[in-house]
Amino acid sequence: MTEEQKQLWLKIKSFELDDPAASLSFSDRLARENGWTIEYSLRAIEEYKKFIFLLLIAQHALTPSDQVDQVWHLHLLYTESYWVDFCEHTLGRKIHHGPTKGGEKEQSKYTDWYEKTKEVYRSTFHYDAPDDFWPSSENRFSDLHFQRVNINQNWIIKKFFK
Amino acid sequence: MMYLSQLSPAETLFLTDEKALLKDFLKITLLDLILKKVLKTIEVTRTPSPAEGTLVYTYVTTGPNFKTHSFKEHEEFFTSTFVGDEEYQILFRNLVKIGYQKASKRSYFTSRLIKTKTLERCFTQNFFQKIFNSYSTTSYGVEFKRIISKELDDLNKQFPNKKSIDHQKAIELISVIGANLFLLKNIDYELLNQIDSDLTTEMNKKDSNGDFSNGCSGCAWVSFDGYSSDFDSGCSSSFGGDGGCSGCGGCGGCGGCGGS
Repeated sequence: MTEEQKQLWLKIKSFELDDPAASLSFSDRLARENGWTIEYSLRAIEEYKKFIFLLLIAQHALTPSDQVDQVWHLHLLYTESYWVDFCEHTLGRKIHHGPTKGGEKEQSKYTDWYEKTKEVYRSTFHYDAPDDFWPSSENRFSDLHFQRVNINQNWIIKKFFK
Repeated sequence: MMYLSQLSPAETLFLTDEKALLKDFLKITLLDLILKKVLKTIEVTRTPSPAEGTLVYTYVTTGPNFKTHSFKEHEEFFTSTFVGDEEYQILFRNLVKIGYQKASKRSYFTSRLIKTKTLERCFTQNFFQKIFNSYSTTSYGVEFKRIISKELDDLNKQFPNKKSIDHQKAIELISVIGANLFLLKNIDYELLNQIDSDLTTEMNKKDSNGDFSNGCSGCAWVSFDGYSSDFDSGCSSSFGGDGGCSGCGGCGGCGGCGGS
């Protein structure tokens, strides 16, 4: 990392997504909506910050893991925090979020970008992206069968096998 | 105070107060770790946006004694977060939540307590008790409880009201009995209240619905202010899955959130 990049990373790292006065904070909501613990949610937020940092310094497009993407989705809902506080005041640049257009070509493109993301992660931070947030490409692009379920009205029972 | 000085405050509480709640154990454990400088708090002032004004964020990170401290199992509910990244800073209230989630139940917390070196002679567990996080008190344990209770009672008699423990006296006592000081009836510290407040909030959330937090669809916590409940109950967005994209794969948009 150059000195300039270090400064940028520290700025992003110290950006606080949780409002200390809110009864339901960003990380609470992230945990609730994904069935994660608070600890896992906070780590996911750290990985999201790293991903955004990598987006700013990389010379090519990048793709997040699903976990990181969930943080990104939620942050996008907090429009003022995302566009004004984060993009404008912290990053100094707008970061847009681009969904896939579907199809094999897109799949191949995003798989390539995802691999590149993990490479640039390793070369920037000098350690591998953790598996529990950055799974293999195979798992990243196959475990996608998520739906929103009301757990007050439904039981969720894990399958013994897929 | 010979014996009291050897116990962590959670151990003392366990021996002297059968009705102590999980939040009491967590509160005193976190306070003890901060007092021992295993963890430390940092206050940061920020102005995230002009509309919100200046906010004070209290963070917890590792203290100078983190590396050398010999961790007891019940302390790891708070300290394990920092293992591997000692520079990690976490909002105070988030660390409280993590501790509460990890400890999960009083019986789970106390099953860790009875394994500490200082208490291992006081309790036994048979096969079934181990499964259900239960225990039996040994005769040594009964006597030890009596001695500790007496030491604590004697201290309480020495300080019959809040005014009798001034700042200087508190410092002197802390050097002898550590955070056991905070088990005295007439002690009242801002930090203790802050921990208490955060834990109470978390317990209310969990107890109200068996869920860690429940902001959506018509819930009614006492701690949840009008703005948040209005905001949450108005949300009806539906999210699809992610289809191998650089980001979102099918947000249906929000169907009633506030905006400005």
